[in-house]
Amino acid sequence: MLPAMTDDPFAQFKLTFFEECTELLTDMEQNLGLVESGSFDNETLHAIFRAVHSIKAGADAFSFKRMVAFTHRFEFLLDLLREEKLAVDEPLVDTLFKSFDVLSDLVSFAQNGEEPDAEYGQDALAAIEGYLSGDVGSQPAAEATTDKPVVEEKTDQAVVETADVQSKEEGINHFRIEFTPKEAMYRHANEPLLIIRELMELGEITTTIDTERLPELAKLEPEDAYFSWVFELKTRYGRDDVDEVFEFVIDDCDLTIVTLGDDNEVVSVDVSPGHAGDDDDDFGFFVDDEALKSGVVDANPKPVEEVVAETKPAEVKAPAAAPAATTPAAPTGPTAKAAMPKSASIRVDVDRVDRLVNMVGELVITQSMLAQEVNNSAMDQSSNVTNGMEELSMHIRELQENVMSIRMQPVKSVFARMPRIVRDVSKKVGKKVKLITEGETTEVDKTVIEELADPLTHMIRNSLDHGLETPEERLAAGKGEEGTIRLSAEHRGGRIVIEITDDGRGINREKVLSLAKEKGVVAEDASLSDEEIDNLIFAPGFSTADEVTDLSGRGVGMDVVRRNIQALGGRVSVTSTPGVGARFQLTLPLTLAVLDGMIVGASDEKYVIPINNIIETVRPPSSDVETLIDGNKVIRIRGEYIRVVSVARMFGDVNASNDPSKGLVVLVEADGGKVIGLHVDMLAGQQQVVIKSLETNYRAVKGIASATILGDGSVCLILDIDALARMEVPKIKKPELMADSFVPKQTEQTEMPSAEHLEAVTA
Amino acid sequence: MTNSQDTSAREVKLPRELDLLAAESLKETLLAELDEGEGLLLDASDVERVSTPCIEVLVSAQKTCVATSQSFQISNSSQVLVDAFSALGLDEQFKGWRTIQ
Repeated sequence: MLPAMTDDPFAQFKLTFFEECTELLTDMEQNLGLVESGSFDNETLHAIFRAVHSIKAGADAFSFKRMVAFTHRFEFLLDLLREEKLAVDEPLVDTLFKSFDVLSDLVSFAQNGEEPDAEYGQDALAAIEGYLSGDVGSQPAAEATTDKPVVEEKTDQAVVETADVQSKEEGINHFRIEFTPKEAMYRHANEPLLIIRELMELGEITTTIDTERLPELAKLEPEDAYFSWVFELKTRYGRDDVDEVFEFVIDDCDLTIVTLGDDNEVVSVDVSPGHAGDDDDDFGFFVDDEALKSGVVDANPKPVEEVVAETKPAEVKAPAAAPAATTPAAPTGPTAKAAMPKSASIRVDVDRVDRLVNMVGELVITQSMLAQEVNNSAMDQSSNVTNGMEELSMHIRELQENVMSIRMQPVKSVFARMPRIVRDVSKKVGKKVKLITEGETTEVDKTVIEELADPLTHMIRNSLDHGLETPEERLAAGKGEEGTIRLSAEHRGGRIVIEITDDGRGINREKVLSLAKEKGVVAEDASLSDEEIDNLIFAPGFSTADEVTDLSGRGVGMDVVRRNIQALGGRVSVTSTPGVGARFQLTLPLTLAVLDGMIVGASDEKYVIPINNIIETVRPPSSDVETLIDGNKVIRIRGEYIRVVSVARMFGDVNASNDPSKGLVVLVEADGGKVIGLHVDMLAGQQQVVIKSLETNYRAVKGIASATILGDGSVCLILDIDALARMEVPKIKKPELMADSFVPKQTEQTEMPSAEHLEAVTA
Repeated sequence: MTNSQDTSAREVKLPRELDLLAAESLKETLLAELDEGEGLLLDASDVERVSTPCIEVLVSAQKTCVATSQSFQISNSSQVLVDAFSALGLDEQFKGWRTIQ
């Protein structure tokens, strides 16, 4: 059903739709959380409704029928809710969350081009139907409204009921709608058929078409609009709902909506001229009106999969500039939209931003090369050139910061998922928990955000499962029944720090230590500090749960969390006070596009060591250097032996000195807290470097994470500390030092990219 | 309403997709047929997608047929087409053009 993305002329629109869905679902989840906690108002309910409505509109455009059918019913439920015809109680909240889950899944299914089982989501649908039929939960005053009049929507497989709207009942509104599309309406990808079908959903409709304007075929402009309509609509819905049907086309038509009384006398007239109103609903799926138009209009040669799909996106788009047709007279509309803050944002392809980031990276490099040239030339320091260079450098730095900030997003999108997890897990383990989130607006690079969700989820689960006590235990310990988990984010020293604090029992050090010994994580006779014991929970293959629960014990231990975080250039640590609670702290770089590095020299090469990994740098006296049987060196620092890796030898310089006491040893922390020493000749200084992929430009090299270009134009390799810690130091006598580790068999190339090669690929 | 079937009219099969982008070519096809002066006999069995612009082309073609005393008939209408005519309020007109096998 779903055409392959590559052949699909609407792939781009779909992509945008799914992005929009993700955002809408995130917001929706957060708002549902508010509903659950009871701290919601009408606007919260409207926001949830709008989210579902927007998803429905988009789903309809792309013919995701299951999604349309489901959102259709979900909308009715939310409608009852926002009209205060349902009481918010736990079963209702459950239904809302269940429906939310189904909707999220349906979106994922659609995104992956999969079709869910026919059974899928039926339980949620059944729960919704229960409310809609009035069997469950309706407020006493509202029995008339649970029975919504619905006319079958052609693409809609949902259960359809047709209420007896003929009989004059209370709450039936009668509208006369005069709808005259402007000439260009179709070209703007607006389709009257869709509008009419939406109206049909609202109630009983009589349609009168006027084809007078239609010329004979030879004079017809096929993409112009000539028809106009008068609809008479009897509906239980209010004026707002009718307006909503037209909200996306208001610019493209003349619209008059008349509210008729019982005897068809005019109660109120509302003429909506075709100009943009000030609707603040941000349904916009699409940024670029022009691009969209041209995309649709110019798409002639493309096979069109879905007529409807073609037309709807623009409808969905329009609200950016579109309208609330309503002015005052909405006598029955119970739901005047509260003002939402208008967000002046545009949607930009990440690729474009990445290209921009790269370009600015190049600019930074070029600038520093120029600066070096100027410095090397015997130019007067006060000359215009020198001054200009300084100014240029300043502007470029600013430019870089600003470009980087484009990719920054608030952590809210990740944090918003957590209340849900806490809710589900706390129910499962029978603990009472309050989740407090702070600093949701803290911004971090998009790439980092994407990688953050899993570790955070796991850590929150871990805190809930292991950290917090049961209500009984808490009472016994003199604490409140309800535990607290605090999730916070803040910027600190150019990094983002995320903390997860719980007021549970803290880490059971005795148990951790004995388990660690049992599992051979530490030696039997090891004596460890409290802090070291606490951090053992991050050791590979470690689990302190007496029995593996299905929450934390999913085969994903805290070691995986640590590994994930470290892969992002971050660190994770824990501090715990027995009986009082534990605090997990994640620190992450704000971006993965630049890196703070220490430039070191080894032999004639320069390398970058990520500052983040560096613990300290020492120049060991020869008395502290020991040689192992295999020729490798260890140094003794404060009573501990640390393996030393000669960077120069590691990368092939067999003649390099192997004596750490003659150089410097940079102590770095690798995966799993393992410390190694990197033997280098000198430290050349600290610098922020733009990361260039080695895989993309050359090929992956073991021990090297990526490359950068220094101010003098030379390529400099960024060391992969974790890989280095695991790598064997090549045997001294062997000329083909690294052969087994990273030279592809099919090539005779030397292991390291030659300087010429790197210049070529990065030029 | 031109309802009598002109036996000499060639049957034109309407495409599967009658979307906005198809409107122009539909117009050209129908114009060419109209130039033959033998009426329009359209087979709508394949139609799976319909848009208002294409309906406009069809209705305009029908008007032109009336004006030039040619016949206009749509046979084998797919449900999608029937529904679209109905939704747009063209039920009555459509009944007059429709031949049901």
